[in-house]
Amino acid sequence: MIGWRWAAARLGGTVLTLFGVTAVVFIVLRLIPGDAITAALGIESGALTPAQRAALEYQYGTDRPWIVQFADWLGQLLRGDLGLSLTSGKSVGGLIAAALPVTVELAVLAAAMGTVTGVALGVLAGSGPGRARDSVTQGVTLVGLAVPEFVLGTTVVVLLAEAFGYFPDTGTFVPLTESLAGNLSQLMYPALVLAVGFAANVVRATRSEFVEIAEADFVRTARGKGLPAARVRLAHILRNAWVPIVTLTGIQFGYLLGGTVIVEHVFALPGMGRLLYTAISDRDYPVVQGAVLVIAALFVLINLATDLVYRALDPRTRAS
Amino acid sequence: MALTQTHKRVGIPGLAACLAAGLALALTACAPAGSGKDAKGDAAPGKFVVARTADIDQLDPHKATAFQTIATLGLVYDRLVTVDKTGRLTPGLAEKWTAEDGGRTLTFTLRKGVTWHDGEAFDSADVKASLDRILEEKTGAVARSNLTVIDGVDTPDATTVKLNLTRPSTALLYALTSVNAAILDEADIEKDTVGKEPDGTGPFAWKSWNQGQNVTLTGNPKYFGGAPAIKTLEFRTIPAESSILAGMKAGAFQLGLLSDPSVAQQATGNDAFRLVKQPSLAYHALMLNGRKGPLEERAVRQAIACAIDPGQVVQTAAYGDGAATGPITSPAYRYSTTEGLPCTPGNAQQAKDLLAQGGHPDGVTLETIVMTDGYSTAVAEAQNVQAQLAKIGVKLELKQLTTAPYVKAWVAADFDAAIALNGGSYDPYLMYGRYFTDGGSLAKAAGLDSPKISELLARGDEATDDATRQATYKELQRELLTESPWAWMSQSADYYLVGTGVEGFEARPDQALSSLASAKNAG
Amino acid sequence: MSSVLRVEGLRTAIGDVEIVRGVGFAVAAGETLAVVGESGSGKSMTALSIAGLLPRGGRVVGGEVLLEGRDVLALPEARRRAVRGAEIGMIYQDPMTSLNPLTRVGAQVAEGLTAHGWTKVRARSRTLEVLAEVGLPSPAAIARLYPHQLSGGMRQRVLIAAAIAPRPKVLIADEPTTALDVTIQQQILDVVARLRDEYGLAVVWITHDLGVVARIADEVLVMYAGRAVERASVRPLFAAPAHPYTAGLLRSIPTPATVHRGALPQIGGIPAAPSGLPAGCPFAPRCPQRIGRCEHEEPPLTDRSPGHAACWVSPEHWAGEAR
Repeated sequence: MIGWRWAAARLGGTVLTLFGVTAVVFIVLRLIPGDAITAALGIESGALTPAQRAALEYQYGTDRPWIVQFADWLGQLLRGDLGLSLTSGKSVGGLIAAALPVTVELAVLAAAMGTVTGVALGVLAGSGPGRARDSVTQGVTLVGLAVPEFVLGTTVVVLLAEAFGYFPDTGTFVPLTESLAGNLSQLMYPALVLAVGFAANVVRATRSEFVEIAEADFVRTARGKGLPAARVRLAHILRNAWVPIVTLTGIQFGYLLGGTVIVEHVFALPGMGRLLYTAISDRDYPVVQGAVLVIAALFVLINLATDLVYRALDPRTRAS
Repeated sequence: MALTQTHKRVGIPGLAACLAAGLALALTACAPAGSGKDAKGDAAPGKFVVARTADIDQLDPHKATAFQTIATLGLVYDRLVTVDKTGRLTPGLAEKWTAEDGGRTLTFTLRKGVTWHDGEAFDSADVKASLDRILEEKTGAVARSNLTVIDGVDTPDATTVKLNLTRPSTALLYALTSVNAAILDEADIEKDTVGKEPDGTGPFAWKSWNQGQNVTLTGNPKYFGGAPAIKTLEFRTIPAESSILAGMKAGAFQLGLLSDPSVAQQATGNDAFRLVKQPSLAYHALMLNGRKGPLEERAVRQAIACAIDPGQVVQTAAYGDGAATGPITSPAYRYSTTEGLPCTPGNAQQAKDLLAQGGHPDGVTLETIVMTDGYSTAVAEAQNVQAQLAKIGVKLELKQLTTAPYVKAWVAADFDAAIALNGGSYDPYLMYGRYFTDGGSLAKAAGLDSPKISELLARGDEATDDATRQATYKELQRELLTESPWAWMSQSADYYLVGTGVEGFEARPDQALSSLASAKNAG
Repeated sequence: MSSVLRVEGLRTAIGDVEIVRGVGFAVAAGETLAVVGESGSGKSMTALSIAGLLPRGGRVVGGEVLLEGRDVLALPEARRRAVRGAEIGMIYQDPMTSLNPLTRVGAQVAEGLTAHGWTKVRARSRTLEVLAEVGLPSPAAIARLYPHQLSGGMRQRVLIAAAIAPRPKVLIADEPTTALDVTIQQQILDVVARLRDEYGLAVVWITHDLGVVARIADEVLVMYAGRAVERASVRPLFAAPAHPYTAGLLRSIPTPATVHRGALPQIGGIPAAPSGLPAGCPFAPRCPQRIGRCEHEEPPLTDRSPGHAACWVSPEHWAGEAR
């Protein structure tokens, strides 16, 4: 089932992928205009004397040739050290360790809600194509896909404040381990906003898979045995539709991880999206490199998990 | 029969959909009730929350330039001298100061009994160490170029600091009021913990920094200006201004800082807070590169300055929030904003005549850089200015750039014109010395060499009496308008959302939040 | 003989087009009726109409399907579902796609039982029993396999097992051997024949292959353009077809006499399409026996002893018929 060779091949591929990703990010970061100094000082950087500029570059470590910087960073990485933030001096590993759980939890909540709702609505629509419930569901889905997260998120925040006098308290992020209620009260609304777009995609995929598979020969066989409609839908149609839905969910989840930045912005959540965005604006190279590496690794992991789920769901993919 | 059939068809999938929706609704219902701890009037007494869009970016006051960093560190660290919001110098860590030797020696008498947050005693050695640190090139201190007039720092005794200057300078005193000239503990400088563990003498002591989330300060009961009523001061980072507005409406914050006029527009008619609009020292201008092309002709530059009606720009870009201004924005130096211009701003005919006078009756084309991601009104301003100038045949080719390329082009004067929001100061020399004096650090971007302006700046700064200084700077303003190296448009406006229970908060043109030292939240 | 299944005047449409235009027959217990025709003749649709498995857009627009005297078409859906599978079983043309690829085959047999009230335990033991009856070795092991682990012939046996497990009265077979190779075909035919005898099933066997008809049918129904054109017992049909279409079909079967003589005789022209049928007999354009009346009036099924045929011209009057 899962052979050593397969695992070794995957591992090798993963390492290569991650290396490639970090190399590209490293180069691109240094190619885009501006550095930590202009980001921090703005036009004031024009007032620096050459000696001052040299001193700052030395501090930031950006005065050395790129290849040296990269080798240094890789060396640190292999020792498990992601370096220090150029702006705050704090450990990059620490910053990521604080921001990652926020984003992961947000993504998991959004994906879970989105998948459950999306599949349910997709089956609802797909089981009666062309009927009222199909048209209504498709209409709602279209709205869900079309409304940008920024608009939806801002609307939610404003609505909560105006109508309920409520603002999701995000002074300090409450981790799951500390308080479930506190944690959920901070994450539920942003997760809902993300879940809308996620669900919309799942609805579309589920519905179209469902409609297609409903015409399959084995579904006719199932009906021919006199099975109740619900059983046909779940055990036969949905059971076979799962595979593409799982694949879609896996890919979407990966994107969700990197794409929570807008929702984190509107709801003031200290997640990876915000961390990366701020670090890129500040040209805080160690933070960007570290964060991208972690996200890429997660993406690869998710792909792997999706593959494993795929294999578990579909017996035809298991090597005999 | 049809109904039961449909009912059966909907069955399990329908149920699941209802469950999912129900879950979401249930959480909606319980969340507002559950987390009401920040609802109106429930804030813990002595706790004060300030919401703003950006987090501080570092902890070293000598290197900070971001306004939110300066505002925060300005509550932790003190300076030798402070300035009130009318622009008058007031005692800080120095109780009094005298100028001798024709202004070439400044002697400061320091307060007694001041302690650092970590308990150590403050004395003149700290002042010397701080000033030396700024002056040392390898520190990369921002204020250095403003303090180069200092020749040497002496500390005859624990409460006296003597500065020897190369020439008299009023600007120096104002430079010393900047957070960039904050006084640090000598021990911290030696231990190199500056920028890692903030330790000051100010009204608030450093407690914690959750990067990206919030900064927490605690009231300093031993503060020489009196213990603050606020026990815990939290600066919370809420990146979206609309979310800050929402939070104020919900009573989650006591103070909200906004800069986007379109959000501020919505901040009216609410009894949870009041909106305060404060003109800032910063100014919007169209900078011109007078060192090349048609802009070398003064008449052409004047034509441009004359064609722009600042009122229109402000109306379009900022809903009218922001007064038209001349070069000097300090409340201590108020002069006519148009005297010196050979026209009435906004008069297209006069502008056209000037253009013809300058030898370009058919107009000119100017490559204009605009920063898109720095502040919210840049592009709207640029487009309005472009429209106004089009009326006299001056065509602005707008190059919209993000911060990094904009800064690069600005610093290298790689533009014909630039839409700019430049920081201001209470002191005119600090404002323009770097641009318009010989060898000034930003002379390149200034786009003009004028010995007369340079001389006026120097004369104003070296003047030892008020009357001379005022007269000189009045002439400076006139000369700047006449030479029109830039077209000055308006003063920026800052917006403060002040919670209803807050007493004692005062907005300032320099965006400092120093009044928090004596403000309180009456709930 | 009393019939288990009687169909009268069945009419089925897909969208606006009638695919089955009035078909009737009866099958007794233990008897096999073969329904023969080319593609487009409506034979599959007839079978699906009886089982209630029409595709989206299809509906029965007329007629009766009487199962032991009860009209199945008039039942509410809930009751029809109870009939489907438990009393009318069906097997299909393509065994490669007719099983759920993600479920073990044993479960797929058992679910057809538990859906009709069998307990899990009894369903399981019946599953093993029926897998053995269709000739599969080691039923317990086979039951745990997934469809992709079985050959086409084995899959078809599983499908047969699933169809007969609930002991239905009627078995409808829609070309179950078309997709299998000839040797397997014979095995399947044997299995079905044996089960028919053991269970006393009334079997309706849809096919386009006259060779199959010859081997298993008791009665034959020949369909063309949605209607029955001939109905007779198998031997008389083969010996003396009473409809020109049937005669044409029989002539195109290769015999030792004809096999080396170049091209096989074909029925000229193409099968009539269900929409846009001409007035009169739909076979007329291709019929060597047509007369003027054929182009105006569609002939009903008339007695042409020993069977029935829908043709205006009785066989004695056929022109140029060589035997």
